[in-house]
Amino acid sequence: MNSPHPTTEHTTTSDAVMTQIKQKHLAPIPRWRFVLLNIGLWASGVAAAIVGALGVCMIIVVLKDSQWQLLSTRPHSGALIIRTLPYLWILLLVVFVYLAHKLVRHTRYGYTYAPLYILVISLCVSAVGGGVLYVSGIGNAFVSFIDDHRPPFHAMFIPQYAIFEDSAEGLLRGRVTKIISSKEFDLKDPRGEEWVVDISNASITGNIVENAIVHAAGEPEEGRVFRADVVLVMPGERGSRMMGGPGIMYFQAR
Amino acid sequence: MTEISDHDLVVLARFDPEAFAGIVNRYSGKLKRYIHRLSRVSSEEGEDIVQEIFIKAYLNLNSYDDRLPFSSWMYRIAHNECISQFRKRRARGIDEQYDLDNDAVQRLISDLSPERDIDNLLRKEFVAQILDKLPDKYKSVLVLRYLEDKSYEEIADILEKNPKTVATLLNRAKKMCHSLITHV
Repeated sequence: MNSPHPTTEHTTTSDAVMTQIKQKHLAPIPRWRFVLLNIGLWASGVAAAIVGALGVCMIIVVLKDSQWQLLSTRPHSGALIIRTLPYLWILLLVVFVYLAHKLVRHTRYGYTYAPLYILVISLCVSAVGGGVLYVSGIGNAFVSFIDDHRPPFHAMFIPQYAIFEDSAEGLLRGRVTKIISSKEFDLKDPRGEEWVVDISNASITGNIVENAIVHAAGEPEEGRVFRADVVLVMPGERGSRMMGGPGIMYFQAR
Repeated sequence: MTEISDHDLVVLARFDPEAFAGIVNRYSGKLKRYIHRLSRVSSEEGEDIVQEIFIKAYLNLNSYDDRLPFSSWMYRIAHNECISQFRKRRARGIDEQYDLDNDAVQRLISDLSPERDIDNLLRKEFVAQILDKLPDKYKSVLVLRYLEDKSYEEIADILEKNPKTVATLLNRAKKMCHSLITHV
């Protein structure tokens, strides 16, 4: 070995370091631990981006089901629409995309990429993942779960629920329990209260069938009667999960 | 006989602790100077810090990847250890002298404020005052660039930042220095 000629200063430092290594029986940390740490950072970064994807998926679901068409018929519609924005899911997306960016930055060569580049890539991974989760039906399955189980703070997950569960706003949401006539049907709201919905003067979009989930705008009246101006039937599986049976009525959208 | 490379020394040291002495001999002087340039520490404390740096380097030898210059890897460990130590020292309010050589100081002043004519004797204290007033992130890039004469890529590897970020930091540090110089 031909290292530079050690000076007294070097020798002192070198001796002190070598003495410590020998006395404390120090040895280099095995390579596999560093490899595992690096893999762990990448995996955590990807996992964070996937959680961010769940946020994107739920943002799509909430915005798609936010019933702005109905809300726009109400007074103070702007404030109502702002209340339906998916703040929790936006926060989840922001936090986990930031976390993914931080984790990837701490991988072995993560620092060589521009922070903005990693942030944009993380966001893209979450956006694409969110689209895939939405198409695969995970978002709607989650909403169905919330619908069926109504866990505490459920309105935080799907903010329009809080609005549609307040009939004083002139808004109602629930499941059709019985078709009474071409002008009325029975509805059970998420709190379990029964309503008679008068649709004689309502503009209706979709097929009103038993077990369909509907959103309505109108005026509540005495005796749990709701006089609807507009009725929207939830499309797809969630909106028309028919339990079978006769008495299905079809209303042409006006 | 050709001089053994840093890389070969690392490979040897992974299996033979005695070979690590070669690394210590090769870098202890540079790292001590770097520590004294980065902060005001006594020579005794500088010695303690440099020993701690080498112990950490030894323990982490297997994390060294030869795609990175070994020098940058050593400076990175030194930098992280220094910042950690300096935060503790700052909390205790300890104050010593920077190790600033005339050439480095001249280079720094010429680049930051070429119009300013400062007496040779006052230059070191002048630069020390400026460095004291800078946040750590700006002080680090200035010391590495002007006092350690490192390239942008080396600084990026040492500070674990993107080279563009280093350029931005250096630019901001120079602007801040220029502003401080005109007010000192």
